[in-house]
Amino acid sequence: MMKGDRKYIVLFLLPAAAFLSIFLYYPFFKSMYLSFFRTKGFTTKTWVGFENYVRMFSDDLLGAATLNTLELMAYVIIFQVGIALMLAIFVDNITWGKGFFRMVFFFPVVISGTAIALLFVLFYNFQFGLLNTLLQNMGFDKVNWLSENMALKAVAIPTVWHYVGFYFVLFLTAMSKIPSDFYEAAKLEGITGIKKTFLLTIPLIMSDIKVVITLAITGTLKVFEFIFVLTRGQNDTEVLGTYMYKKALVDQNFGYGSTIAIYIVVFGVLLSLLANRLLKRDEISY
Amino acid sequence: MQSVQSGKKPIRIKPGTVFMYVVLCGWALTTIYAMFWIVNNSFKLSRDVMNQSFAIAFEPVMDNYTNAFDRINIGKSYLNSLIMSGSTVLLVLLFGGLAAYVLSRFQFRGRRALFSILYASLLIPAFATVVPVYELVIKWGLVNTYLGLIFPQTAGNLTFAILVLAGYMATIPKELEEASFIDGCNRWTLFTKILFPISRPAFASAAIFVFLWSYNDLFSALIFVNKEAVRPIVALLSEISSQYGTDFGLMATAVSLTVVPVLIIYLFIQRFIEKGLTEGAVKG
Amino acid sequence: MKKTSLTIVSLILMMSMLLAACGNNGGSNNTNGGASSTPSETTEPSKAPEAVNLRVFSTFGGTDAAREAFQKAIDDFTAANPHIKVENDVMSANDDGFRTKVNTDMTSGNEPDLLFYFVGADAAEIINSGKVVALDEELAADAEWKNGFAPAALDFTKHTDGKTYAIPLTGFFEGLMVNKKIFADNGIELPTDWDKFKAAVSALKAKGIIPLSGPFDQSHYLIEHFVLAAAGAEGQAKALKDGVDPNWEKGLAAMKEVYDLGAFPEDAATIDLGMAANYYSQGLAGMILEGSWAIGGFSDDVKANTTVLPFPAIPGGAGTGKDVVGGFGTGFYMSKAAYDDAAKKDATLALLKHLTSPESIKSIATANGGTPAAAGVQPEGLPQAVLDGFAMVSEATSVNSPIDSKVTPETFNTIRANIQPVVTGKKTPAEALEEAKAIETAAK
Repeated sequence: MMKGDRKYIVLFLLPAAAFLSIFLYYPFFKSMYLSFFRTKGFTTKTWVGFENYVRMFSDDLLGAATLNTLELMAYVIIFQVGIALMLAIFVDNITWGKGFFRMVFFFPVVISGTAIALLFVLFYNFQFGLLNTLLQNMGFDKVNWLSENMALKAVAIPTVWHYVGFYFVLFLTAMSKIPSDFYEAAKLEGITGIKKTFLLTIPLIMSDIKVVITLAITGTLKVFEFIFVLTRGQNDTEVLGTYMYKKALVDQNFGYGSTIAIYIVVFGVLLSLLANRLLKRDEISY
Repeated sequence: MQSVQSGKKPIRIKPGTVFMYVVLCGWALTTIYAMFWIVNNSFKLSRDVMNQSFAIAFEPVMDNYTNAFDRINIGKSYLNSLIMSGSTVLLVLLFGGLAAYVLSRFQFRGRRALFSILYASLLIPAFATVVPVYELVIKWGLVNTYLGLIFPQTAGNLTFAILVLAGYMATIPKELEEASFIDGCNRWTLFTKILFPISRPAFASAAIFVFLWSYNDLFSALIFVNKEAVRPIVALLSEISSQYGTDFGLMATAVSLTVVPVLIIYLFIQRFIEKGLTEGAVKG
Repeated sequence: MKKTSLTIVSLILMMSMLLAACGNNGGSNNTNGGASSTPSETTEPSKAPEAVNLRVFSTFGGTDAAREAFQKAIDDFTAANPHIKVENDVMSANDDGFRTKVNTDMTSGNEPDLLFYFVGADAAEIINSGKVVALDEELAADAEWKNGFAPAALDFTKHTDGKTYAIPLTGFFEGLMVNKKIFADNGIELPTDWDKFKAAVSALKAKGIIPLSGPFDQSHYLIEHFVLAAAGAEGQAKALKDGVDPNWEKGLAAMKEVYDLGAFPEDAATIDLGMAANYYSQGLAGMILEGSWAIGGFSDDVKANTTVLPFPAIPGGAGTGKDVVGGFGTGFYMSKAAYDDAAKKDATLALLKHLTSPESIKSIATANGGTPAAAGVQPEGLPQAVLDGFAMVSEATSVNSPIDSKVTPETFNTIRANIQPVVTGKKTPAEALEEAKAIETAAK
């Protein structure tokens, strides 16, 4: 601790703290407060105690939305994080075209989720989507890609694809921070190729992997556009985000919508704690 | 890719390398083709987008573009987007950088608690805060002004930026800081002269993501800055889908117009990150 | 310590300077639309009346068919009244965000001077909160203005308390739109009664044509018509007030009946209204339940071959087969703030009268194919399908406002969400409606 550090701690934290308090924490607690009311539009609200919470626990649709979210989360963690890690390792190991791949993998991240979802509408559409046009040209029957059995998996594909590039860049940035003498030392010991990846690279970026998984978990809780545009939450694809949106903004039941928002937050906290527990590992500093 | 048959001096190509290139090129194809697909379809009439979305528009139709430009003041929207997303990025980097510096380089009571709070705030979805925030913004007369969007978006992106920046700064060797401190730097100059340059890759990455999230955030744009004079470009996407059906040609055009400038900016900044990354790699 | 606080103060100062700089970029701060700060004001000649800034919030934006006509009506007004500036604030009405936007604006002191919005249950909260004023006195005071309207139009926009808050502009009808060419080409009779409707569904299905294009999630028009055709005008108007009308159940059961015949698109569960209209517009579907505003968007070919029929009565119900959904579902509201502001009241009223004058109504009705709210106004150049729709309305035994103007949004959305479970047999119509009834009761 240096002299006068306390001053800087306060000073440097202040702007961020002010912004977060005013535009994030206060509104959040206000929403929490609203969850104890029955609202009619935005004008009148009546105190109803825990009525919204009672309703929440007997809400079948919310239960279904929770399960769907978990399923989507599994796809995201396995495929999105997995593919991103794999691509990052590959790019880290090649010599030619690194910059090119870095550049193009990031393209989808640049496109807004709404736009990607619209793109996939045109892929999956039953009547004139690309997939069915191809099938018909090959003489097969059309398939309803967004049927009850397939809809959630179909939605998972653009969801995963959208953000692979994002985690890829995070991983690659983390890998670039690994001092090269680590690798040189490993090379002397004969550790190369896949062995190097698993013994050196992955353990060294473990803390980043943890952050990415946490981001993936919380990110999945915010998934919205894909479901909203592709399936409208029908055919067993309702997730927590879309359900909350429907209750709060479409139904204009702000009280119950806020209750669901609180539920989403609690659910997310529990999942992140669980993930952190499962991934517990000493952070390596170098 | 290096040629396998390069004559007298054979370069050894491992099958593993070939495999890696195949996978990487495969994935690259999906991302490149998607971009091409969107731009290609922006030059077609709506009906052709639906019926022959994979044909190449050899005879480009400019209807969608004239339509978009006639009806919506795109230049103004670009400017709006640039001002609002740019300001958001600057505020986030400044405030987030300072906070990250404190959280990563200082030992003090409550530090862990602050980190926990930050991680927890990642879990607050925009839906959970939007109504009270909107009330605040109205109360302060900021609705339909640039600040009306900049403030909420700054708050929304700060957490992520702080965590990314703090994560990076934590890996910077302590000796470097101590040496500079002995050289007479105070905490502020330490931040601007030492920490910031070293952490440039992290700042660059954070800048890009914050910009993108801000730029593509339709939800907030619709609520806080929904007037033509201040409307950001992403609102085009929603504007063109009205109750009179869905014009896919116009949609593809709007997506292209939304995406292409960001891509150009990204390509421009990307080189800068590349540089920052190499500098970061030889730290110490 | 003193030094610390000094640093904080200077930092705050720095911040506020930064913010102020941004604020200047942000243009005029829109504070309650009242305080006027536009530069043009100062250049105004002194003899002119005091400058007034008005804000109108409506749905005439984006690709709305009446966008230009509406802007022109405003331009004409400002040209004739140079001291009044009108800010034309617009948003598309197709997404639910519009309702949210209006609600937040109205209840947070950010209300526009004139608001173009739905009538009925949607507006109940705004009216109850006293943010908009009843305009009966103003109408009574200006006979020319009042007599310009078709009496039925003004009746329609009356609130449940018998007062007029919303001044109508154009009206709408909903009906069964039929592609005559598809029916003729395949030798199918037009669906003028329930049996013919079912026969048409089966025949079209057999030909590989979508019989009735409609989405399950955004099933507004399906619900409207099936319920009305089974419950009749009276049963529909009761909504869910005195429990669930058994005829409503018949309506949903009929939906299941035609679902089992293959009436709906294969992907009805996941498409939205836009895509359903596209299927019809592309000639892939024989029929669709839609509103008058959709006709303008159909492809020329399909538009020319479309006629509009009332949805046939469902046997065993109370419908006449000539009950239609329609009326004047939207209108201009004047905010209390503008009404109480002496400087603005007259300007706002003048603008309102101009926008709802027969000339403005005519040009907007011509643009969007709506029913003009003005008496004796005949829009020109309308497609035959719209004229067929007008004829349908004129022969109707009842013209009913939609169900979603009679129940809370949450109740209606509960019915919407239950359409798929009902048609696939996972829920009975009774269960679905009881669920909606429970929501409606809780919201009271």
